[in-house]
Amino acid sequence: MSINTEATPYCEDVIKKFTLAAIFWGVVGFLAGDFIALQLAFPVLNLDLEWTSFGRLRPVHTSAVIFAFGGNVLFATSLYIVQRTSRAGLFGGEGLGGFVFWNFQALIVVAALSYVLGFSQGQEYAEPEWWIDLWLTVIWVAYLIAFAGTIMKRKEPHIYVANWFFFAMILTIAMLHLGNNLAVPAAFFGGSWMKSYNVFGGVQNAMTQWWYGHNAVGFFLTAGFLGIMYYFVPKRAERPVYSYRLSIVHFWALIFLYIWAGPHHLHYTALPDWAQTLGMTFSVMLWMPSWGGMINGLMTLSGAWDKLRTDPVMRFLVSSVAFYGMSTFEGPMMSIKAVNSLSHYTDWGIGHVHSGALGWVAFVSFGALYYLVPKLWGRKELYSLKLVGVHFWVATVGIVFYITAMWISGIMQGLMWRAYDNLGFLQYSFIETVEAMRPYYMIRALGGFLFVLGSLVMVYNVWKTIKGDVADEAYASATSGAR
Amino acid sequence: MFKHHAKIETNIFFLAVGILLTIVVGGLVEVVPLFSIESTIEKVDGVRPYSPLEQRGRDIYIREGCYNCHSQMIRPFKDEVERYGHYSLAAESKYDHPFQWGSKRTGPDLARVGGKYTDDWQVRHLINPRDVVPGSIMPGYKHLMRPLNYSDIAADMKALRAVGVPYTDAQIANAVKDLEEQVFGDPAAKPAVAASYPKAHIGSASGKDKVTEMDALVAYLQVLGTMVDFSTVKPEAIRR
Amino acid sequence: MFVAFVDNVLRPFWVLWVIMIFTGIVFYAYWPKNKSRLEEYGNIPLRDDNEER
Repeated sequence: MSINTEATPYCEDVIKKFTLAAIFWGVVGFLAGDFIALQLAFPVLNLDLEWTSFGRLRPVHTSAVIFAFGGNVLFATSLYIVQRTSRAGLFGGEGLGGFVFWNFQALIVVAALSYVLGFSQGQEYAEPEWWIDLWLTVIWVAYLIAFAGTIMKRKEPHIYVANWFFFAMILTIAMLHLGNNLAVPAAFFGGSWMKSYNVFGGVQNAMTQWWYGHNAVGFFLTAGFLGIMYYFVPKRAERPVYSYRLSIVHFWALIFLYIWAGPHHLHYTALPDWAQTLGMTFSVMLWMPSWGGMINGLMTLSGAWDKLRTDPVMRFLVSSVAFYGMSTFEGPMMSIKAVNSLSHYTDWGIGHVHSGALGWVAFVSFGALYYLVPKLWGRKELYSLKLVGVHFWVATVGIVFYITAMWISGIMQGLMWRAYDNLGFLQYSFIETVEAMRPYYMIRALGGFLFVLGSLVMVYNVWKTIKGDVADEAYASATSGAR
Repeated sequence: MFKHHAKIETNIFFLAVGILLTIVVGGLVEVVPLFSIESTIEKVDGVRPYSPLEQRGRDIYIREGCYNCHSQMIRPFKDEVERYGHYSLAAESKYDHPFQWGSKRTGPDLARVGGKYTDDWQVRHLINPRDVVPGSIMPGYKHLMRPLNYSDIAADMKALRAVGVPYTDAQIANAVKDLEEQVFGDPAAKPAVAASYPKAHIGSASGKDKVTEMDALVAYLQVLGTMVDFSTVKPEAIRR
Repeated sequence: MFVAFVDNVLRPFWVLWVIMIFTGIVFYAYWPKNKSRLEEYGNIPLRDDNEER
């Protein structure tokens, strides 16, 4: 694609594939999410079929958005960034990249089918059965080789901080994946190939699951996407990150503290108190590096705040960092045991996850994808920046509907569960608390629908950009402002 | 020391070692002691491995993703203890591979659902929840009325034994027989399965002449939270 | 022995060693001598080989 003949031979075909796959799985995952949200408001949508019940489709949604959408975004961005900041082509070239790409897409399809057909390890975000886990391990090692190999042949002496975040993500996810999925297949004893039992049981399994589950958030959805922030925010703003020294402290403090935070998912359970207390303490401390990172991202724009107004891609990136700040404030607060006693098991947790997942992860991904598409396909700018603005506002309104509905329903449900009448009896039966949620489930589904709608606007915009079309208004705002 | 950090920044192997040390230490300090500290699991009587039928029911519970909406972990709060029963002990899920404590209560906690409803209620509720609980948003599971596949139940029990569930050789050898007996046996005649698995819930929930998935799931639900007899537990044994 | 070390040293004294490591990193990052070198690294993404702009 490059005009410069002496340029580094970057591998970009594979990045293009990951980019398109990310957009595709994003829409699929958002749609699946909105469908199961509607099932909670209208249970008839479970269709009375075993394959379409909420219990089987919810893992399809979570895996599609976290691993299929998030994973493809991470593959696309990390392999793009590591080449650019190393000034070296991808180690293993298109061959190794293609191996990771095709195996990963096939794995997504197989995993999703396995959930729908009723095969599951029964641990959240780690549902795929044992041989799918092994397959993923092979893909992940190939990814590690491509990534680390590129760093090893770099021309730039220093390893740029974004790559530290990606590298920590790759290593930690490998450790978590192997540690949490240690299971004995029934097939070893002449049983089914689609059934296994985790080597850990009860309280130990609870601890390893949330050590995994929380750090999937911490490393996959946070560290990895912070890598995206540390490259694309400076790049789009055309200025270096606010403080590189802060980014070093941010990195070590974040990865150190995050790994301890898992037990806050197990407050007041049969997990020993000392572990709960450790988890709470570290979760609260985690607030500091999180906000350090947020400040670093936001302040990168200092002196260029007008870009927020003129460049909707920048608006996605910066809003994502703001959402990151919001949910990393909310998270430590919810990990305080007194707050958790109310919020746990309720929709508040769902709202919190989605303010992070939609506001932070998806928005920073949209920003990165809108940056990447014109670059990769050799276009001057997107088909229409105005449509990026439309996407931004539709999605933002969707998020606001989503998280406010979940805040209200979560807090309301928590309060109803513990309410006593003046005779000293529990005031509400469980089903009354379920019925009270209904309006909020509808609002949430509406918010999710808007988010899906926004992503379809992105699909159109990306498709037109790749085709090479340019909407008239694109130049007017692009040339005067962002570029 | 500062020179060393410069090494970490420029050498991917040192960076890898630095990252690994950083992330391993937290896991070690939190996870490792759970296996060694005596007080992690309370010493109470009654907790036993699941009977073959209950285990198959548990597999169905996992297959249908019940954990997405139902917890099995009662917290030590006044309202939860009143609503669901005695707070959950670690000992009660020690043979649960994987654990099913859950993280969300879209529906109620099920840790002590055993014995709360009749088999008939459970079956009607599972087939169409709105027949018995009009406001329910739970999916219907009418497909559970099909025959249960249990020919390889012994293999599952062997796999469970490999991860630490203390099934005896006799229990594994009698797996199929025990499973059928738990459905079709006569509770009054004290069948062998009840001796092997105390408090096992005997009877055919679905009323079919073959063992159904419904029978297995209901047997599992009916044993949940019933193994420990709290009237005999000394408070100091479960103090945290 | 290793488990005993974790149980008796790492777990009870975590506050101490966490603070030590953290101050070490902060001192390193904010040592005045390192400033210009470290902040220069921030320009790496902007020094892209084949930027066709």
